[in-house]
Amino acid sequence: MIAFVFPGQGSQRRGMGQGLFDDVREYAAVEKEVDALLGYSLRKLCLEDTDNRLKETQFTQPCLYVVNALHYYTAVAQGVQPAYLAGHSLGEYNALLAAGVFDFLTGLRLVKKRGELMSQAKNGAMAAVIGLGASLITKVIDENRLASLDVANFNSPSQIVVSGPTDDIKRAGPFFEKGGARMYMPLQVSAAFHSRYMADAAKAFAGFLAPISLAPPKIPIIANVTARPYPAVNPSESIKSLLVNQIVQSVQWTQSIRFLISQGVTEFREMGPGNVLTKSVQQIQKEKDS
Amino acid sequence: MDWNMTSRDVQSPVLESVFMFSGQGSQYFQMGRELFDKNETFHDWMLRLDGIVCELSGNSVIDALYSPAHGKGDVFDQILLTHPAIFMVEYSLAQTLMQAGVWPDMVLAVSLGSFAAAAVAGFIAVEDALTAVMRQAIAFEEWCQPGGMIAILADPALFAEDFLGSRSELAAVNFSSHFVVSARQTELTEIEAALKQHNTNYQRLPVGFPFHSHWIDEAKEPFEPFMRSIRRKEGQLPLACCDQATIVPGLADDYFWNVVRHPIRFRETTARLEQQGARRYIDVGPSGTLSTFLKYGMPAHSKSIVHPILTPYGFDQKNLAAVLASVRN
Repeated sequence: MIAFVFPGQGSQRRGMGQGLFDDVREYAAVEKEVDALLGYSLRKLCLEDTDNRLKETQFTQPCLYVVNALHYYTAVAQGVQPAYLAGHSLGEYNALLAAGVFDFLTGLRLVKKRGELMSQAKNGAMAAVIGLGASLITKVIDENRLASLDVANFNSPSQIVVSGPTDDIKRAGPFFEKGGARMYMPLQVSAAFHSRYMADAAKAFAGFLAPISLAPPKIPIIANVTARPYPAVNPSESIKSLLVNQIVQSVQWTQSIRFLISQGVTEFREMGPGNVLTKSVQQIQKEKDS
Repeated sequence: MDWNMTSRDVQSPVLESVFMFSGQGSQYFQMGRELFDKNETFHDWMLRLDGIVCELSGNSVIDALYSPAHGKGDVFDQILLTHPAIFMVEYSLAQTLMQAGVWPDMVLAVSLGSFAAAAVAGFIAVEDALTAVMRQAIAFEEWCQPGGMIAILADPALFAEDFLGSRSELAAVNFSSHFVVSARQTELTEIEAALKQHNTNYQRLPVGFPFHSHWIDEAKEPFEPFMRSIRRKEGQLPLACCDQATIVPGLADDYFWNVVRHPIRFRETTARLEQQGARRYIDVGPSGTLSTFLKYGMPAHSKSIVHPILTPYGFDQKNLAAVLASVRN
């Protein structure tokens, strides 16, 4: 049984989408509209990135959304059919697209807005704690007056990301290291994503989503926020609610992959640039076997 | 282990081999590419070390280092990548030489190169060394103000001039007409303008921080506790340290900080080694810069042999073959 997994911010790189922009028929038909909507040539930004802007979230999100989609269309053209879909943060929008919840351009509008709102958040940072389990991370937070930090992403059994005010993220490093972390790796992001500090962005996004109608998913999607499939009941409202919550809540990636394994998924295919998710899935599978 | 090396008989046909490890500033995109593509040992070690970096940081160095989007001429100065990349290339090249039968009798450690040198000499396990490299890079990235380094092709006495001495710190003395200064970001352009006025050749190094100066001191505290906890092993080879300008018997507690904080005394260290007798020096750094400095700095009558291997000019395999041939003859 196959699942498609779509990567999020962090997987972008100059040169992504190379060859796909021209090969994928679906893109040729919409490229002009994409560039008109964004106000720049997406292809050029992905392939050249002359001003080094690809890492800024208001650009990362639409670019990654499109490139992930190109990878997906290529797989579909080869006849591959997934039983489940999941995406990491931004990648969840590609999962929704693949499930037919919205069309390509609507999805692009959503991630463009999401990127803009997230880029407006300030004074926050994130860091990856390597080699320390969730309960020990909580212990370090509790024992060292680091309660301003939220646990943002459960990326793998040995990689958990914390999110919070810039100064607190900075000073937390030695505490995690003393607590047993192998590495404390600050991430190159501009704000405390997936934390309580994104409340304003989430509220604004909810307002943006309100008038948009969404179709029920044709393939089950595992939501970051619940690590379970999107509910079948009242799909339009429940999908919007989950997407809004995703901005302020942690990405339960490890839990999502474990759930998929328990449902019989044996093969995870990464639909996007690089292999960050493939590596995380391997680690999750390895831990399960040990 | 006899740490007091006595003068060697220069007529002896067998020269002792010294592997030289350079530091920040000697790196560039695609470095070691030819060996990565064509030499199995180098390739395998690079992948193994990249795996460790991936586990520690979530990022692959090889993906960035050998990406088709980055040419040799592009500036490669992001420390979270360059710090491990330099270590990986140096350690992998050292392993490649050893696998081919060229064994070091001594290692010479310059700045960041001290990590790979210490690992090859058996003072620290390679995984611990690479973890230390990552930790140090993170400390610099998080805590230090931006700055840079300028290589100046002139007599180091020039540093006494006010336009240098008041704005920068002496980072390295490499030979009689090559030294390096470190300064804060705001001072670099003015220093270069003054050098131009002074008709002196210079080159900005691809680094984002003023290593070997007090302007990186903010990184010491975050890095120190980890550094003191690194497991040390019994060394197998003498280590010539360019921070101490002598062969050190072991790694001091703050070795990994001092080597990037104190000035690089390459000229002094190699002069001392040359006084003891001829050796075969093999540059395992990415640019062959140390072999260049040594060639210019050696006394005219020296019987030492100096080998670059990796350089930006692309003769890696040829240079490697030349070393192997030289050693066998």
